[in-house]
Amino acid sequence: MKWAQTTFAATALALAATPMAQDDATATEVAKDSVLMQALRDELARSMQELQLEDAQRPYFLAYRVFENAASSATASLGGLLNVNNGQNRQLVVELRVGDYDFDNTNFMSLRNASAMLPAIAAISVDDDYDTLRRQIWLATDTAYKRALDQLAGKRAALQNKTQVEEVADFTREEPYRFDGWTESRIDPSPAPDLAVQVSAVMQGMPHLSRSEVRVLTSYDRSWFVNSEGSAFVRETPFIGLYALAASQADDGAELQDGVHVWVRHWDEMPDSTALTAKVQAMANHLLERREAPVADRYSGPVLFEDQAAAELVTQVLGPRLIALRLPTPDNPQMEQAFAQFRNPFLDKIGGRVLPRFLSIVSDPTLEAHEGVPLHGRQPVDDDGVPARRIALIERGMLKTLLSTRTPLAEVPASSGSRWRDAPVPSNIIVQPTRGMSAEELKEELFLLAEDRGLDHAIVVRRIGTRLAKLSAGTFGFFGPEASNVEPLIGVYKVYPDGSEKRIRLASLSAFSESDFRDIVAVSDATTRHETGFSPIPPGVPAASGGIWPISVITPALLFEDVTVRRPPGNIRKPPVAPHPLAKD
Amino acid sequence: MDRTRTAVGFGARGSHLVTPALAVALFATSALADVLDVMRGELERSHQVLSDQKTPIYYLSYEITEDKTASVNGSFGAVTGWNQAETRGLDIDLRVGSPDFDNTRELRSQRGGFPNFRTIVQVPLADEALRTILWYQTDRKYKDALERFTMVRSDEQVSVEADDQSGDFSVEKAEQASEETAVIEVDRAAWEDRVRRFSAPFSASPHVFQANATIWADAETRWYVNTEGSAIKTSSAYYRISISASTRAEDGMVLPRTEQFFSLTPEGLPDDETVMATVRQMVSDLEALREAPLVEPYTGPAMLSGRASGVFFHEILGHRLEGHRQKGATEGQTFRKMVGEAVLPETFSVVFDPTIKRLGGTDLVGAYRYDNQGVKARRVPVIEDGVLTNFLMGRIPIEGFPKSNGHGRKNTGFAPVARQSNLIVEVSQTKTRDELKAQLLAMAEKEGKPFGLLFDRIQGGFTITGRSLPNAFNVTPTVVYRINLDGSEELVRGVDLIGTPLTAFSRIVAAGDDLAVFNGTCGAESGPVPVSAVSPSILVSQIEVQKKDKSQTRLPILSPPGNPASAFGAMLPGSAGARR
Repeated sequence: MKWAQTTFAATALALAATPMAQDDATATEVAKDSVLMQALRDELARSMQELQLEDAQRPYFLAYRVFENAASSATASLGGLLNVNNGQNRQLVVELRVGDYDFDNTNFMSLRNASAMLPAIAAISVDDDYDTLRRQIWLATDTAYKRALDQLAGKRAALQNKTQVEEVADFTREEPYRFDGWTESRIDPSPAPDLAVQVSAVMQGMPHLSRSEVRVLTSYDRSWFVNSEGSAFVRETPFIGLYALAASQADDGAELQDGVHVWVRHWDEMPDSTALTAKVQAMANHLLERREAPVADRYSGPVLFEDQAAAELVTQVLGPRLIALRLPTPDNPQMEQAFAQFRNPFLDKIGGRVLPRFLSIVSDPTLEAHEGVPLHGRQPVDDDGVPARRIALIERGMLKTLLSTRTPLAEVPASSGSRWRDAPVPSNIIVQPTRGMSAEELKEELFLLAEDRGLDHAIVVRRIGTRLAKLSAGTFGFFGPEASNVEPLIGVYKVYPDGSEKRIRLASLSAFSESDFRDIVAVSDATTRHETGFSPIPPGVPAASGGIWPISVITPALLFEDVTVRRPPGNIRKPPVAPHPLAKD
Repeated sequence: MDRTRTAVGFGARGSHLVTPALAVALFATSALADVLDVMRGELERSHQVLSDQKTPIYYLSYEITEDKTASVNGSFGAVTGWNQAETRGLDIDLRVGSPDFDNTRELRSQRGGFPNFRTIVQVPLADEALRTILWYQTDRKYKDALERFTMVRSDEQVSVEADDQSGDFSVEKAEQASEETAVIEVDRAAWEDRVRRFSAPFSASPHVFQANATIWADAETRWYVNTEGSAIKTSSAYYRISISASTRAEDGMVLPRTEQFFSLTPEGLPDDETVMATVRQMVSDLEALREAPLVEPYTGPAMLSGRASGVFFHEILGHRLEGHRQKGATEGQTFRKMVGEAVLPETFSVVFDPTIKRLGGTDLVGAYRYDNQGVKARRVPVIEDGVLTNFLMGRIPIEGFPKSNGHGRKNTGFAPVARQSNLIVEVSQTKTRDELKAQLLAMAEKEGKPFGLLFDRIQGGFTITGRSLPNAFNVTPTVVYRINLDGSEELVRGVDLIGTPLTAFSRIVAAGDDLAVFNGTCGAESGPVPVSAVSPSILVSQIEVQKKDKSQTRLPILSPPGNPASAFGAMLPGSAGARR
């Protein structure tokens, strides 16, 4: 059905030009022929040489990041287009530091002068117009410099009467690094609306679904970076994401949601319509099964997390603990206390045991693929211009280090090359068992533990809600972390020693945290790969960044001895008064 | 919060997809002819089922607002981005109780909170999908209505008797209408060239730190059905060119200039030469403004240009004539008891007329055929020969005014209330500019003032109509002249025009023989809506100005790139001030 067809003039896109990627630090210039890069370099050089306000300090460090984004989105429901959006822009973010590496204008927060904390951001020309770009960069740099001076003065004033408990530098020293991944590639956004419409039409004629939406996003992110230490890069990230979301309301009114997502880099990697249809149909069928399943009773005992559930558990519970996020020093005691509760407990566990001896975890942005499938956490260089590299986070159960940026912490003084926007993020998280069980052995162990507790059944969780996308009250929305640290359990089964299984619905984990991981009793020998989104910002923390960072997680199934599963708290809306328009009487 | 704001800029800025070369009709829509039928089918089904409930509904309406927008932005001679978007938002008005007393009644015992939380539900124009979403959202609305109806009933018991005993909803006659779906013509390559051209002259000035040019178009189509039997489809295109630029004076004061051209047709937009002449004027205004002297807080006589006067009337009069404000328990209700009284000189009349699409050579953005409650637009005189005669009415009745006059308006996601349309000030005896100026100087001299003020260009304004804060208004000018007693006119800066409504009204003494149109967006509790204000210039015997909020940021430290001279020293003094 076509009524509102967007007319895209046939645009010949220079797709998939061969990337000229190189990481040769001796290369003289990154993106040598780029007008934008030239403008960035020239204004950077001028600012470092000349930018000074009377007797004030000159900048000791300056970095320009340009986020160039050509993005589109199209959302559809049941074969009808809901909305489309398509645009292009370039955003310049200036990072300018005054003072020195040990003590500068950053890592400080004062509500008395909140505007000085704002990042200097400017929309700059998408035309490669040298003069205009120089002017826009000049004005943004000027703003950044004045704010930096303000912030440094405020920080000195606030800290002069305090003895700092920890002497931690504000910025790490790094070797210059260059990476040139500049191509002229783009993603053609024009297939997105039709694809969204087609996939959404799969959910037609299913009155058990109260709502459903399919969104297709395309983006071609090109990051330009240059800093005053000689680092520079151009990094490109093509991305096409398809999200199919659906909700069903059970007879008691409880709403059940689920979704599938497909991420690829190019249109030719997108599964064909048969495969997409099958995925979406399977999800819709699961919702139908869940609707009719009994509500979870309270259960405490052994729980086995398989497949996607294991990956989500690692991402949602362990993930935020694997990053060393330094919160700014506030100038007032109330805020200092508030920030203290966001302190990552793993900072105090470095060198100690956080997992059983038979498990290790690495974050590996250099890993291209897992069993032939490209990984989404792959990254050549981070947003600080530090080369991304494999980091062994947990070795044989012992926590070795955390992922970090150039903002050091006492416990993690160096950058691991993990900066995304303003925070460290994992890349490909790989949970490696040194001793795993076969599927049968693991089940046997599960029932043994259940028997010990006098239970006639155990619980297996195969699917947990993601933080990627949900159907909100009004429409499609992306969400960050919620107050509860694990999303609702979507695929939960009571399993019995005779091999039978019963699906249950409305289940969530009760008081589950990172310390439970130390008590994993067994894992599978086989691992599976899942893609999901990671949000580095703890709930409630003010930060310039937000959003979801795509990662891949490779993990075995995880068996916990003592987990509580119960019905989630909160009341349930009553079921609809009128029947679904498609429902048969 | 009853604070309303009008500005040149429009709210949601979308912007653009792009296709190189060749004019293409973006989103050429073959609109589903039966959208209204699908809506009516689900409306009737819901009406039937929900009328059988213990608490039945008595009224239900659906409105779908589709916007297909395209925009291109430029700055200092280069394109900074483009956007193209298509959205379709759903609004449902569902009522339980009766027109005399329903779930939408004001909760007088409750103060504060966020009553106008906005959620936008997107809908497609496909049969099954549209019906499913209508069904699901109607059910949500019904449950919200039940909850609120319970609160309303208990509120009525704990609150004192209401001052205004009118009901909650007016009964109106069914309307039928259908328009062709409007399509916007977008030529992205040409638009890119134009925004480059329009924003380029600002780069010659080292002191301009922000300069943007935007071309924007929107094809807006609305489908509306209600249980009274109305079924309306309307559709219009809007085109706009906006230019804005800012400079900074040595003392840090940010000095903005904005201009915009609005049209209902692509050919109605001005040609490049006209826009470029405006841009050149803005460049020289900005240079002159930097050098202009500051004005200290002052009261005295002033002239307001037609555009300034239009916004002045919009703020002090228009918002206070919005019907529902006459019974809101927290509202100032300035004019509630003044119907039949003279509030302006008898040569002045004011009318709100959404049926006029063009006046004084300019298209009016506040024009529409039907409001957002299915009521036909009509001309509403509110001040006749100086006497207050009427209010702007949506379907919320007030004592003595039981019916709507087609001013129930909203943006997608908000509940409609009475809002302004095209405000037109009509004056039977006018004076030439020289006569107004002479009268101004005579008044200044008589009061012992060394000068009068002329408010020429303005950015917008706002007013507070509630009771918890002073009932003041603020009109924010960008170009102000001091008219000295010797008749010379000198550009000044640093002041906003402020006042309180009744005092300001009582000081209007005369009007000019000119007419100017201000097209803008008005923000209030039912969201941003497009409005126009058309007025001659006026003479006011006494106004008050207060100092503008001022940034303390210094000028850029380095000179502009490629310019060897310092930003401080290079500038010519400019032709500060004098204006013939």
